[in-house]
Amino acid sequence: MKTYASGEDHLTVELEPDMSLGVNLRVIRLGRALAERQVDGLVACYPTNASIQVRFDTDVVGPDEVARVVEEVAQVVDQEDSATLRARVVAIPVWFDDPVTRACQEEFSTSRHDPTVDDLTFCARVNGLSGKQEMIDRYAGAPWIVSAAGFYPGSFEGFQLVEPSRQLMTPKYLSPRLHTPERTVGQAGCFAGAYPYASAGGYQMLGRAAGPFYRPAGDLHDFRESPALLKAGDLMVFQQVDEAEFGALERQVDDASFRFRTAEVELPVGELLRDPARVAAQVRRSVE
Amino acid sequence: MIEIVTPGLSTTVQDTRERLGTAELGVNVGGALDRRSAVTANLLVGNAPEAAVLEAAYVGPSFVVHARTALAVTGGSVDVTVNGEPREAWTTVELRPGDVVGLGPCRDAPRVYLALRGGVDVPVVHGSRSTNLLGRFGGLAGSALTKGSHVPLGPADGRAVAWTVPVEHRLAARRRDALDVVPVEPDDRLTQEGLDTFFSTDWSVTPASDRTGVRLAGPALSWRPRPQQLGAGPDLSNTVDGGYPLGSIHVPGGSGPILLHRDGPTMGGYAVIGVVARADLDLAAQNMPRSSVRFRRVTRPEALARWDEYRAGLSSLPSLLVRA
Repeated sequence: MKTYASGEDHLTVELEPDMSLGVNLRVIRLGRALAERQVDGLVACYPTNASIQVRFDTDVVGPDEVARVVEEVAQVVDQEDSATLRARVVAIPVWFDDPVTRACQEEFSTSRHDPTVDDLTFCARVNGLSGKQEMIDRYAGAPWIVSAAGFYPGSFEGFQLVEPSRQLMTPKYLSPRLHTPERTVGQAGCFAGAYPYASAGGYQMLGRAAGPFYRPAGDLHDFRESPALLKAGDLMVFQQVDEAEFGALERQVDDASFRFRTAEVELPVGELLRDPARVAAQVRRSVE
Repeated sequence: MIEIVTPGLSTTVQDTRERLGTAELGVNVGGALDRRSAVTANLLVGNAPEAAVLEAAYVGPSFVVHARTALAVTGGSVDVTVNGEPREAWTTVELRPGDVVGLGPCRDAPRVYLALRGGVDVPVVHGSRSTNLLGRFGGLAGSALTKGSHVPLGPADGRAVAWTVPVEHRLAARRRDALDVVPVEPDDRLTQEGLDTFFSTDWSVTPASDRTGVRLAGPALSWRPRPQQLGAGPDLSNTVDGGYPLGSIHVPGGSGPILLHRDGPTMGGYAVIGVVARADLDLAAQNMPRSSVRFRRVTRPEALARWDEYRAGLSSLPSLLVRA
């Protein structure tokens, strides 16, 4: 773990330079432990992927004191070998290979590595898979932990609960698209991500979610407490739906009756790292 | 209440309260980019320093007054008229129902602030009244002002007193040769040459700059070679996505530094090479496109000392106002 001041009032806590499931679970548990512990002068604590950004009040503490507290809390967190992580599971219905993202792929074909095939086929190929359906099965087959939430309102990144050898990896577009349809679900590098609203972007586009990721109006059940659907440490399970199911769910969003299927689980951290497939199957079942 | 006739290029409601603990929502601290100008405008009309004001970029709005109020315009130099008659900026202007106020284009800095007596009265969302355009909340329904927008004002108390700010305390007199930057401690990303280039270049502000950040053009910076990190992009300027402090500077692809401001992304995959001193964030937002910007390397204690000076300056603002 490396800690250093970033400007006057931030301490960057870099647990590892590289991303992994193990480091992210430590980041999320350390982030929660720091938020629970009332530290004088600690203003905000922002866990993301492999690091935590801590903001402090320079009238109360300095970076060295904050670093000492972080290291103290980290020692306690790292010693809990039977640790569990309480996590909310959210099932996200996705119409993969849908016409809206396909049309967008066509529009920005010059930004793509291989304009002769669609993004799903391209992702399957770079991952050594047989084709689109195998790519969908792998993407939707194991849950993703929200490894970082933020960037812009409602956006997030997910890291899949799989062994490193089964990690999907895809490059970003060669140059960013000027727009991406709202609720597009995709992948870049080892991360899953989504576009809460139409915006520029470079993720490979795999499909569209039936429900929103960001809803400042707060009219839907899942957005009563927060305008963003997901926070770091949540688990996402992508569920493949067809055109008819997608349409029915969108109509539920329109009349504000839509609810995501959710569950609460206690993730056994050690077991998850030893045997991710077993734990992943349990997580999937919780929202079936 | 005032009613907008022409909204300007992008005019939003902003205050000086920061949103804290909302980074996970993808919501940055927000608020007036040039806080000292916003606070000064409020004091000129008898508001609390943190009252919500209008922040206009490049071109100010014009509006009709529907109830007696007072106006103060601060920030960049701009022509102010009431019913076609020129009025002083940085000065209290009494307004009556039916008055038509017009602002021209900004001459020397991209942002002007309009405080109205009583403050803009919109709901506090996540601790602030500021507009978050991408998040579509705060301010007037999360949007920039448009023709016909009704801007509600809070109740005003106290007697009408006309104040002005002496020229030596206005924005134009506060300009500095360089913006102070504290390099991030593990200086292991840019080469020494890259860092030297960063601190010796006159960077050009590009027109793509906005509330998310100041985008600069200039020479490419060289990076130290490093192994590809799992989860990071392929460029040497990339890192595993992490939180961005306010004022952080990154250099996507090694050229074109971006200084992230109050509506910037809360995290991202570019290495932060340094952070602008808090005392210089106001000025960082007030450089016109195509003007040049230099950065000065300072230590963290030097930046903290300047922050103390900055805050003392804000506290002494009321004593700097003189009767108009």
